[in-house]
Amino acid sequence: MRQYFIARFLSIIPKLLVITMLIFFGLKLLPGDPLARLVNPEEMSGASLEQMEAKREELGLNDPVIVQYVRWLGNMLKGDFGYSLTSHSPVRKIIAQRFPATLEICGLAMIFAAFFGLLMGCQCARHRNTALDYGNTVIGLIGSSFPGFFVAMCLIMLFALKLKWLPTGGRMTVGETGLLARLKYMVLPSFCLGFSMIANVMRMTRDSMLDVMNRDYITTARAKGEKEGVIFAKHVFRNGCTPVILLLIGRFSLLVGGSTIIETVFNYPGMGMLMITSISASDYQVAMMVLLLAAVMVLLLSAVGDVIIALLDPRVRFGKA
Amino acid sequence: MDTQNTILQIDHLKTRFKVGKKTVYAVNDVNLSVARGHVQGIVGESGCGKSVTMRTVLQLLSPNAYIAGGDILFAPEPGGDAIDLAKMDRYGEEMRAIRGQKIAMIFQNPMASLNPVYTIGSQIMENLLLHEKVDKEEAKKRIINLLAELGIPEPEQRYNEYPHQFSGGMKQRVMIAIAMICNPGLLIADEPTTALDVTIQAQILRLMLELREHHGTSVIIVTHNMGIIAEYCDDVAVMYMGRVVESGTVRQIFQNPQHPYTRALVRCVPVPGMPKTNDLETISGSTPDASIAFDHCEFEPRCKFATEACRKGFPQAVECEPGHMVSCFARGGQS
Amino acid sequence: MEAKKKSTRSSNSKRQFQKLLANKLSLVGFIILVVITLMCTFAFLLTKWDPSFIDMSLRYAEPSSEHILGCDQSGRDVWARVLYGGRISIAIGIVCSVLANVLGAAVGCVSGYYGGKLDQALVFVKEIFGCFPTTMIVLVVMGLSGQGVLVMCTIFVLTGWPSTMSYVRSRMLSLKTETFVENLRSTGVGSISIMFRHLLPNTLGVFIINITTNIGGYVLSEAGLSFLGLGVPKGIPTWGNMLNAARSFTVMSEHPLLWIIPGIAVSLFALGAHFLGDGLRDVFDVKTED
Repeated sequence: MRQYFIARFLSIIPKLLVITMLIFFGLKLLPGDPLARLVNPEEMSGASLEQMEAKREELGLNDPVIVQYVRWLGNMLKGDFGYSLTSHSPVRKIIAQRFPATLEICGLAMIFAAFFGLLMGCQCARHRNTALDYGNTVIGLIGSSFPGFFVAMCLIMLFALKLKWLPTGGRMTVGETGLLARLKYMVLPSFCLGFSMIANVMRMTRDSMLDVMNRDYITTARAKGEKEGVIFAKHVFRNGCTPVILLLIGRFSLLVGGSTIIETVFNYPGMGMLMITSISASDYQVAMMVLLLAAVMVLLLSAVGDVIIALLDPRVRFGKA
Repeated sequence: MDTQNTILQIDHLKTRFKVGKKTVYAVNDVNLSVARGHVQGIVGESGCGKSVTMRTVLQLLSPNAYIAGGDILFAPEPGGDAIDLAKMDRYGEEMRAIRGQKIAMIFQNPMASLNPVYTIGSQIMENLLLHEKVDKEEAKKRIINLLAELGIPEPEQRYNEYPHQFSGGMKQRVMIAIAMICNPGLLIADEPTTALDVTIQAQILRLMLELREHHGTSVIIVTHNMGIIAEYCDDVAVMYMGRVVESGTVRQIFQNPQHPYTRALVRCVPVPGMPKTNDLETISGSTPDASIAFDHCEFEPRCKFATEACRKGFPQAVECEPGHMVSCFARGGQS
Repeated sequence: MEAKKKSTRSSNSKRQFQKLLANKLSLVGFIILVVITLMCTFAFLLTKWDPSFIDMSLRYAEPSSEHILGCDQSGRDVWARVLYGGRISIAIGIVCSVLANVLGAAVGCVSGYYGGKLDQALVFVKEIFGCFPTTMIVLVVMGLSGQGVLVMCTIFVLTGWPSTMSYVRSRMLSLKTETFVENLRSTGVGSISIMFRHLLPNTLGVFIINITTNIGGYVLSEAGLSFLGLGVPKGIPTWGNMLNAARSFTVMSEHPLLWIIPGIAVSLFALGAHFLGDGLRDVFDVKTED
């Protein structure tokens, strides 16, 4: 068991290296003077050309690329992400503010999509080819067809402007920073993000549960005299939810990607909006770091997903699939 | 029904499947009676409805299947009252109380019949706790004893293992343990050894005979293998196209087969010492499409002895010697 | 023999077509797609206005008999812009979807058939792609390279192949072990021919489903990017560029018609594609795979 976990987490290292390399070369290819992105701009203001050249030498910008990469990686691990061109503050500080905000709405969206996707998918499987099945399918497909930002604007019109129940955007009111107070800012963005995922989760749940329901061991359970509801909860669901968990985790990168647009609509200060604003301002040091962070997050999550699967399925745990 | 000597009696059972707009007539008119404490064999080609008949007994049918008529009388206690299983609600409490406790069933493919994510101990426990009020320690002891009785080595350790750690034969033993843990009166084995190696087959079947000795369980073995019938069963029923065409003791059926179909079945089993020049009998043609309802004897198109009467209607079951029933106008072609 | 094979194949596709007609959802989807596409293609029959004709005197004009859906912030006819804008949005959707799936199928085919080191490498590349949120890559590249239809389509195709690739690859892995492949090889049929002529057609069902659904997906992506102002250049009318107007709070709250109309157009089109795709899944009897 422990071996499996260690092996799984070690297996992400090569990917991690390739991802960081891609970002590193992406940064190398950026137009403009790299010095401006690496050094605190206040320190460098009014520096002479000689001083800048000295600094360049000191930072090793004239070293071979591989050496630079390794040093850069070391800096990243120390938390030195460079400086933003526009706000002149360290990227680490900016991201540290924005990261939790995105994590909150993506997490809530994930919970939302998982709950309704599983619930509706199970309903479809248990009542297949009935009105309930078709109804759920249509709702799900509507969710994946209406663009999130369009739904967002419609909901802002309805709940924020007409009914005035929820704010039009932002993350918190001054003075009220608790999670509960923030919740009303998170509801609409999370809904818009999660709604588009329901159809996929539901379809996967339905197909997976139906597949398990036809397995012989379900007949065995029935032959024991178990109740239909218990059979579904204990035997069908437990086996049928593994592909759904993998799907959910695989789709997390879609949520993070979608957060760019949704956060912009709701003026929600997360990483997605940070990315848009920094791209619009050609501040690529920030944009690249957001991209890197998102990729690393998705990578780590996929490993966590496999660990969850291993906990659920002994065949994976004992290394025999 | 004589509940003293009979544990299960099936009368005029009909089971059908709705497949799209078609109806499949899987079980057409099955009459069968299983003697208490006997091993009853049911034999027939694949698709003859033998498995469906047995699944109908416990109503373990797919959602598109339904019972179109007939009775399944089951008498758990000798001399007690018989209850009609065919009239019960498929998912109802009465039916669930029978399943696993009074009548247990094991299936053709032991590889797929155990839930991969639970230990085998907990899967046996599930059946026990459903029907009996025992505390977990006590239950565990009983399960381990049963596993030992069924020839599973190191039962304490195996109790906590998962199905994928067991071989096919061992899995079938676990299935038997699930079936036997509540000491059911009747054990239905639906092709229990078809998916297993020949050497394992004999072990599993012998095990079922031992269970009958020790627990007094009546056993039904469904198979397409006449050799298994000859070796392990007391009585046998021969099925063709959803009907029992002939039934009796194994001796009666093998020595004095009446129905042309039974005769062909008996003669297509090679017997050791048989002269090499003797041809094994084959049955010409193939089983007709079950989605077409017949208005006369289903075997007629393949029968060498068919007469005008065979094309007009269904033969009634006749007792040709005590306990030996046959449904055929031609009665083995002697007429 | 050959004739018999042909007849079973045609009766098979006939049966699938009947199944498709019987599936009401996919029929509705199909009709939506065809109607919208036809309306956009023959836009000049449905409106007399030029979608790019600016008339500042008609800024935010209310719907009238002349301009049935009113005019936008530059006094351009909204109805004409929806129709003509659809042309480009739909074209982008179709082209990107077909190319991305062809690329995915080709890579998956090669990867699954040859296996070994090549397969490992391609799967590794696929997984690296999977780590980056697609929208974010597209945004960064679009930001760096500047807006343009061609650039956008290229990035869509380059980021869109992995899901088809992994399905085709896994089908290939199981198909190549079948006996008929052994037969083909023993009769001297070349690898390329086995791969693309004999094995690849077996994945046709998923290929068609993915193309259908992805057409909707790319129309949505175009809308999202252009909405952010990072997609199709502003001057070209597309559904996304029309929605972009709503980034101004005044337009969003005061002139909802300007963004609701293209929003509905995008949603309906995507809905049609998803309905059809979902129906095709039943027709080809494919299980969901990720």
